[in-house]
Amino acid sequence: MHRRPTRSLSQILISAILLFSIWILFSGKFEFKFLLIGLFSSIIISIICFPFMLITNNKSGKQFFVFDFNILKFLSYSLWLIIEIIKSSIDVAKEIFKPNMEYEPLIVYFSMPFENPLASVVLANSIILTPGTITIDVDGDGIFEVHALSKKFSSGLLDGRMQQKIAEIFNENCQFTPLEHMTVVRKGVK
Amino acid sequence: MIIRNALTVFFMALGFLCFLASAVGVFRMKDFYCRLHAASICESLGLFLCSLGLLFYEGLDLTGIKIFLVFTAVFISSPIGTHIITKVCYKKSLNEGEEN
Repeated sequence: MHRRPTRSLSQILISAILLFSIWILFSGKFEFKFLLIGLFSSIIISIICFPFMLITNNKSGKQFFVFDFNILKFLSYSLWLIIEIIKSSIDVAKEIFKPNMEYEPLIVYFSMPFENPLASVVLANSIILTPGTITIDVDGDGIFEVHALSKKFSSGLLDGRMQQKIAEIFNENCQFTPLEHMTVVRKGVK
Repeated sequence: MIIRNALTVFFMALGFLCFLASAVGVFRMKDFYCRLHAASICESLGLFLCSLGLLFYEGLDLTGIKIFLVFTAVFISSPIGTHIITKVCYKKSLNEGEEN
């Protein structure tokens, strides 16, 4: 595989800086001796572990570095995600304390092919973190299979805002298509 | 100091309310997946509010940043367990050819 040396050097530097800051955090000592040991070990570890920091797309064979995303957009996305979690947690809690339960769980499908495998992981993780929706499966073509507690939660997912934001974090174009004909309503479950 | 303690108590109490809601939900919901939905309240919002309360108690020193790191680690890794449980149950129900 063809690899540009300057780019991999900066990637090694990024992971070394991250490891060194974690070293300072966990040791809590600022003497010169300890800082020197931490600096050397973080550089050596990041050189040894560099091949493991690359994720390969199984289809196109393209390689992506783990920390290669827009950090400012990622931070604003995490704030947005926490607000969404609070909103849908209140909705699920309302559903729990209702005297008669009248929700209909359903399984929805949507297609969101990402070039970077990490983006699919982030999307699936944030779908599970939001109460009311659970990712059951993601296949190689980027088809997500999501179990939702009721229509209200699945419609919040299928309007495509979360997918759009994640595509912006990883600098990709959003090819989001809901597959509504495949929706399964699970009525009459015990 | 009093304001900080009051904020701590407020956020921890809200977090415990989330844990209570998900415990009630696990008993009341009707099938396996819906129970997982109820349980996911405590692992996302309950964890978030409890660690926010602890962060207010501790302040922004080294221990506070460590609490934040623990929070992010659990926040990233706990959905994986939920996903694996759901996937195994769903595949098994498909193989047996029955609902639930």
